Amino acid sequence: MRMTVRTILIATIFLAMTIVLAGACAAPGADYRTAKGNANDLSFYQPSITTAPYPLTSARRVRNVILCIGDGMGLSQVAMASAKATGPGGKLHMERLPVAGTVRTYSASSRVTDSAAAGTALATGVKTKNGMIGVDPDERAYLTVLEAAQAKGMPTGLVATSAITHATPASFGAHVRSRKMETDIAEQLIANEINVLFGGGREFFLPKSHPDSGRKDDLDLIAQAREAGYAVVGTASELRSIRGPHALGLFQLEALTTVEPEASLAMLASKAIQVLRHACLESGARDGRPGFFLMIEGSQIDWACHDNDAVNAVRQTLLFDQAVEAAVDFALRDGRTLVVVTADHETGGLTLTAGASEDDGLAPHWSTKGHTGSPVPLWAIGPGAAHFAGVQDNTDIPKKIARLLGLRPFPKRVK
Amino acid sequence: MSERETIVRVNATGDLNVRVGDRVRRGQELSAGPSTDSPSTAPVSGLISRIQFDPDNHEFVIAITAPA
Repeated sequence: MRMTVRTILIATIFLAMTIVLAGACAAPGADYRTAKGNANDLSFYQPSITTAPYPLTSARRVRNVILCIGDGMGLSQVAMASAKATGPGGKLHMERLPVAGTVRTYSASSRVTDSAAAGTALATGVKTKNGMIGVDPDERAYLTVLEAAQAKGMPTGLVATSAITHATPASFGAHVRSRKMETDIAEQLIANEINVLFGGGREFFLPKSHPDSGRKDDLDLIAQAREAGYAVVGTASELRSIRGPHALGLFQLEALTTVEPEASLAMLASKAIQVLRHACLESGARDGRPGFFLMIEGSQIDWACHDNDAVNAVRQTLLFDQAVEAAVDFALRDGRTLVVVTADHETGGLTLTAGASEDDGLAPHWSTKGHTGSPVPLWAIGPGAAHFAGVQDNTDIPKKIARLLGLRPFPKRVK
Repeated sequence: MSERETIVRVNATGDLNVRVGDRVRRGQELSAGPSTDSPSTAPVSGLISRIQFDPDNHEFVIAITAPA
């Protein structure tokens, strides 16, 4: 009996320590490299109960645009995640979107792009060299589709699981010659007064006097954001409390951990939509006009693929698909929202060959640790979605969005 | 005999030409693919002892171990 009590006591202490340590691993300030949780546990993901396509809309005018980008997400990454989470006949939410296409991704400097050049193409409609953000190969800045929407009075937002200063989100709200200039990118994101900025990278917003700062100057961008009227948050509970039309959510110093208690990408996406919707209504216009533009990135699919880590690639793709589901749910309720889901490039050269039946019958094979020039998939739903069918260049995507939103001229140089 | 570790960072967009356990010579190309502003050749001869992907900088961190 004494032995049993002692065993229970030890087990209780061990359990308590485990809970405390698990919480500490993913708390603000946690390191995404170590706070990975159980990558094999996919219980967070709720598959669709049907494989039927989401309905086409009869509405013709586009009010809101949500652009979802899976970084490094080729068709094989989607197929692998789909097989793992929904079985051989199932579909991810993104696979249920009624319009499908493919996207060519080459950059101005290479057949194989990086996220900076691809993000710039998806944001500005202009090809640039690998490594460049929001500028052409001659370092001339071009208006991004987010900035063009903003100039028309539309609230805008960026959501990512990387630092918000990382290449893809940066491409929509900054103009610098190198993706490595993350302190400059942070300044530009705040100066641009983008309504919603949710992601990691708090280190680039803190002055050098702060022990966690990644800056070499005294600029306190968090204080600047507060003065400009932003609600500044850093935890999931603080996220829920946001009420105003401007929100800066920096949930880690570097990238997000993508594990609890941190807010999931889907939670960030849902809150971003809510804030932008609120900002639209606060503008005084009827019916939520003039609409909003939001970019959501599943940043860490690419990182898992660079590691040739199939288990984490599946997990990151499913986390991204949850965010797509949140965007599509809103679009179906709203009726005037275009959702476009695509990738900036493929990473890993992933192919799926016949594998063991207990492993979904698929065996992943990686042909590289880097990116590839393979075309990437695209899905769309909502008014204007049909324009995204077929084979297209990545620069076509923002041009089509701009045309549907009446943003002219586009592409456009920034003077 | 003591050893010295040399760290090389190469852009992660292209593929790697080396794996852990490979022996490389000074000047040997470590990565292939798109042109980058990062150096991609081995600064010393030695053994590739470690390769890690650094997401923050989108680079591979390659450790080359050689006799000191």
